[in-house]
Amino acid sequence: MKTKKLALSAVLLALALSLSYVERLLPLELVIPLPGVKLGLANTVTLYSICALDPLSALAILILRCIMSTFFGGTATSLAFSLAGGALAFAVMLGAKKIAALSEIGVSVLGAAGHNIGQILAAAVLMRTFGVAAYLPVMLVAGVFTGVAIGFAVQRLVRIKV
Amino acid sequence: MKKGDIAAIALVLALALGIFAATILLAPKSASVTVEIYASGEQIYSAPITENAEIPVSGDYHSTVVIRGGEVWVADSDCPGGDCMRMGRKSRAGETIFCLPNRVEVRLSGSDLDMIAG
Repeated sequence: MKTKKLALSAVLLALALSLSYVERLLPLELVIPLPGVKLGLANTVTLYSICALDPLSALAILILRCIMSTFFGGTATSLAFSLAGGALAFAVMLGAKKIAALSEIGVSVLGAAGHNIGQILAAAVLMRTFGVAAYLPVMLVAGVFTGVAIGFAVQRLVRIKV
Repeated sequence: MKKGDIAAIALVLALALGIFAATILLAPKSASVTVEIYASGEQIYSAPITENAEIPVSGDYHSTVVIRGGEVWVADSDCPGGDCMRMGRKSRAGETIFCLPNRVEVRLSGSDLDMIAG
């Protein structure tokens, strides 16, 4: 069982890394011309690992993904942003997962909102101003759409027995 | 999709609407708008929006902020992504343009003092 979990975690980490790389190749700004709006494909893995594995493994995969994706053309700034967004999204999703009235879709939407708030907080620290919060509504609304899409995908994924 | 999911979506949308309303309401109503440019948290420019200018900003990257015809925008930037250029043209008090890679913030503030002084 331990070996199986380790192997699954490693596969999920590899998947999360490739998803975050593939996402940069998608010209999303052609469809939604808003700066900073992302699909959050790698969040599929975070949510899936919270559902299918355990919180600690999910957190390890998340942190390693953030650090390792920096090697694929990230900067110290982008690492700080993905860690801030990822950590808050993780905390929110972990809490939301315990609410019985929520399916993966609701958990994902709240996680996306957490991610956006985390990134705006990181931006506020970096820019030393809360003026960046003015951009939060745009990101929150976009996050509802991407959050539903990601949640829908994970809902299908967790039904597959590994 | 469960009932709670709809509630979660409604909650996030309500939060977005609330913050949006707050930024609109908190913005001082003023006829005169001042453009302030900050690089890494330090103010490097401050002048009325009616004053046409081209301001080069150098941080980790090089950007050019243009103020012309009562509008402000980032005309040129060699930062990765170029999101600041896509943020468009701003003209109202309370609006901001920011470039995260270059740590530049362009803030449009309305001055209440002008209203008091008439």
